[in-house]
Amino acid sequence: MKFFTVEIQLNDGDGINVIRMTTAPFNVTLKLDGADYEYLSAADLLKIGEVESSSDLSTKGIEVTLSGIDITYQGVIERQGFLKAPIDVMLIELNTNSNEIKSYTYFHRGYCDTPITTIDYKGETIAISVQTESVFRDLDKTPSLMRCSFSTHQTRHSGDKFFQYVQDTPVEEIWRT
Amino acid sequence: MFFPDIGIISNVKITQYIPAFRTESLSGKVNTKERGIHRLEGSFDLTLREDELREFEAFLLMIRNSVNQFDLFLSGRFDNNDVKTNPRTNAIFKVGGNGGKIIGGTGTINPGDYFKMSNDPKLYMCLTSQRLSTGIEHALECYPYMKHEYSIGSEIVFVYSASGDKSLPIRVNITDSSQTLVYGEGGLINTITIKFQEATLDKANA
Repeated sequence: MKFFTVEIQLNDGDGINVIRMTTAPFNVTLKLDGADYEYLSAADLLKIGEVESSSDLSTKGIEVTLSGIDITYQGVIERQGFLKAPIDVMLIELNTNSNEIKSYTYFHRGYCDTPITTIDYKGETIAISVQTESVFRDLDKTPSLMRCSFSTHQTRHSGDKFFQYVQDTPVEEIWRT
Repeated sequence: MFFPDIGIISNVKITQYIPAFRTESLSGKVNTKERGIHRLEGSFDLTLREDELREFEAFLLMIRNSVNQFDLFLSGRFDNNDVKTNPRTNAIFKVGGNGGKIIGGTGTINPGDYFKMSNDPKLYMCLTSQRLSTGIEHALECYPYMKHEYSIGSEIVFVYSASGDKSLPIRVNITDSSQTLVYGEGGLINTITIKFQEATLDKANA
């Protein structure tokens, strides 16, 4: 049997920190590096959106929908707990007649954006939908790496003229094709 | 909360809801994959006399129609008459497992008998037939997969002693948030159709 698991590491100092959920009808456990990770089946996962693979490096993410009927999430949303929270969606296989994860592959890895809460009175549902960005979102930004320039080198090794002939123009590091 | 013991229940329909993945290719090949999810769903007609009406309508408002869960006793199919006393587990019944060794109890368990474990309302179905006896171990195979772990010596409830006729309760929710009672024959014969589904896949009964 194949199931999905979703793990979101919330940036929330107060209360919930990591939520682990599964689409299996019972809790599943992942034994990794000597630690046990439990993914709850009684969690509020409503929908996992489509994943599109592309050969370009892009920030395309997916949409994960949680049930908003339990108001615990609203507090987390207000404290910006979901913003830039790392999210891992895995496709898992269990050992026969057991709830232990035999093998898994990553379906999507990324970062969450602030969720949108929709209250549908006619449809009698409250849903929290979280749009994610893939892990490549950081590659378009200015890198925080050290630059090989004379001035940067001087701040750490004052008096050392190793880079004195290097052109001092800052260079953008862009990883896109 | 219990479904009140009034009125006549008729026209009972029970559905085994087992969602799965299934594709059929252009060449006719069928691929299926199970999801491990199982739920009882169903409906029945309830006919009430004039003097039973109010108690029933008060019950509907107590469970707020579709909001709250309650125990439904349908007897018949949920009565395990061949079992006299319940057996116990003789091995750890693991989460995600399909049963294990049992011991004790008196009577016979038949394939198709429902049972539940203590402290959990989910109904499981026994798929094997065994004559129960005090000293000898037997194998119990069941579906759906166990939702919780049960230690050795846990009671496997085929006969539910808390109910008068020992029949098993189904923990359910009514599916429609609107309920219509038909006041027929000038209020002397009143009917309603109740649609329900097993309420065991939610946080309260996790």
